[in-house]
Amino acid sequence: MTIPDDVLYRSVRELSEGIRARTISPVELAEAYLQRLEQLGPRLGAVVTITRDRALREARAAEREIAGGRWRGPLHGVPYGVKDLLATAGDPTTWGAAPYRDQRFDFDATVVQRLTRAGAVLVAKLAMIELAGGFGYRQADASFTGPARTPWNLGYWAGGSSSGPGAAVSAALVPFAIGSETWGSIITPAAFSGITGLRPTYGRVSRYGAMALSWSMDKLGPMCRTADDCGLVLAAISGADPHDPSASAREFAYAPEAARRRRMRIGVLKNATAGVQKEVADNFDASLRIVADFAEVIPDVELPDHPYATAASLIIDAEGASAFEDLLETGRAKLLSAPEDRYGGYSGTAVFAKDYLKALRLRGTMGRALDEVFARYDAVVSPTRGTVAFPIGKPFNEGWPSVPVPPGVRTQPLGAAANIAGLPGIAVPNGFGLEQLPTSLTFTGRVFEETLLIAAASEYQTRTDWHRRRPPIA
Amino acid sequence: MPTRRDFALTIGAATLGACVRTPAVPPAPPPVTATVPPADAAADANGALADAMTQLVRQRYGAHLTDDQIKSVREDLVSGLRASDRLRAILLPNGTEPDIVFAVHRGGDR
Repeated sequence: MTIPDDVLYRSVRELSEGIRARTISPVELAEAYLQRLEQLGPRLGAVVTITRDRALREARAAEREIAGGRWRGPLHGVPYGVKDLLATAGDPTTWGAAPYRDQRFDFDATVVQRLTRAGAVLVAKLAMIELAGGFGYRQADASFTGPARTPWNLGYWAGGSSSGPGAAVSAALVPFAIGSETWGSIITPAAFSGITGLRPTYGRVSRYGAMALSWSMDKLGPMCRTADDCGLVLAAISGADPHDPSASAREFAYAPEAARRRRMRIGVLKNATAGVQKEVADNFDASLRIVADFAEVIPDVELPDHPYATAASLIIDAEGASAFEDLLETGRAKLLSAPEDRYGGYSGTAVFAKDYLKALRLRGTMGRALDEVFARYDAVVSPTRGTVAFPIGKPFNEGWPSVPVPPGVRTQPLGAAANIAGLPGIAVPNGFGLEQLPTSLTFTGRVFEETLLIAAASEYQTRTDWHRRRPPIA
Repeated sequence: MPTRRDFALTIGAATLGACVRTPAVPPAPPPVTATVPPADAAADANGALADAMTQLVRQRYGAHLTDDQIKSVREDLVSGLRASDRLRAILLPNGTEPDIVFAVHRGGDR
């Protein structure tokens, strides 16, 4: 039986209900997504490897188990994709980079193991910016698979570095995906592709089996259609892992109802719309009126004054130069796709140890200062990006000449502070801007408060339908 | 042409200039701001230092890089030095440790 597109655009929770009730067959569902990946994946530049054999094997197993009365939970029989920086046994794991296009591992990353245990069905490994952007790419064409396109307008970028997960979820090539963020790499493609993306607290999700760009800043997280789906996926992938000492044992029990029992307190980042595109500002203001329906809204939240971006940049440069020492020492960096990535890692080899340590010393100070602020709110909201997606074929900083974005203007208002301090954030679509491209709103919170963020984002999504809109590619 | 770090400030995150609180919330223990040399003097010093560091990169990795790429690396190094200046301007007490924890390893007992 052919599964209609309407079903493929359903949320994970909705698909799960159908699978559990046996009105949706996991095998037919996997087949339908596989077909869509094959048909639309190349147009979007979203896919590296389709894992057809594994997908059908896992889907058949899910179907048998559910028919036999063993239902593992809400991800059982639900297909998904992973950013191609996660190891999966036997498949290529390319890190988006030509020098690694034949790389294979003989094990699954912890996140993939946990999803397998939850009964989810791996259908694809998805495109990404080479090395997760660690060498300073400046344009969308920075992957050996070419630029990934947002399904809302194929002349524009899907965002990065989790480009494939953004485009694939948006166009219903998969119902959810796993992305990674060191500095903006889940939140940005969520915004540019018009989906919901959750950056968990640093340490919430094991990084074992994931490409390292910056050990102290890399995070893995779900990219889905809804905030609720992000909660379901995070519940499956979070938790301690003996292979990753940074993975926290602090429990994530997804209980959105509990978080909704009282009126929330939501702060608004001061001057959140200064310098952003008009449509981004208008949509943000409209969003605040909706947020006020379920929360006390407190304006003008200021962040403590620290050099967040400077320290974050220095940490990533130094850790990236060490993580990719093999590329730099052997000169294989010259095989990377973006011209600027072929030399971009070398400056990191000359970071003084003292300066790197200074950034790490300041980091603790920053984290404590930010925690004092975020402890006062359930979430702080800001526009996710200052602009809609950048056009493909131009350097990013020339993407919107009518809306100049000089250094210093906040195109990702909380990005540096949140990432250097390991704060969680969730980006949700909140309207459309220039070229009918999506805009986005981010709820950022205190460390380990993902449940509150998901609850706030879910409240927003129960009052809006931006996350239900379908891109014209369908 | 924007350098890598200038670009990171533009695209990646930015300076948060409009939403940060000034003066800083004093963390415990509070950082101290060092005397910063005038901008021109710092630029001259960074230029000379960037030249030296570029030479180091050329010595180590020159076989892998074209002259144009080495020029771009120098621009990145200048930006990096500017960033380092910002961090060096904040003096921390001796007891403020890096935000990393070393864990000792002990294998199985005999």
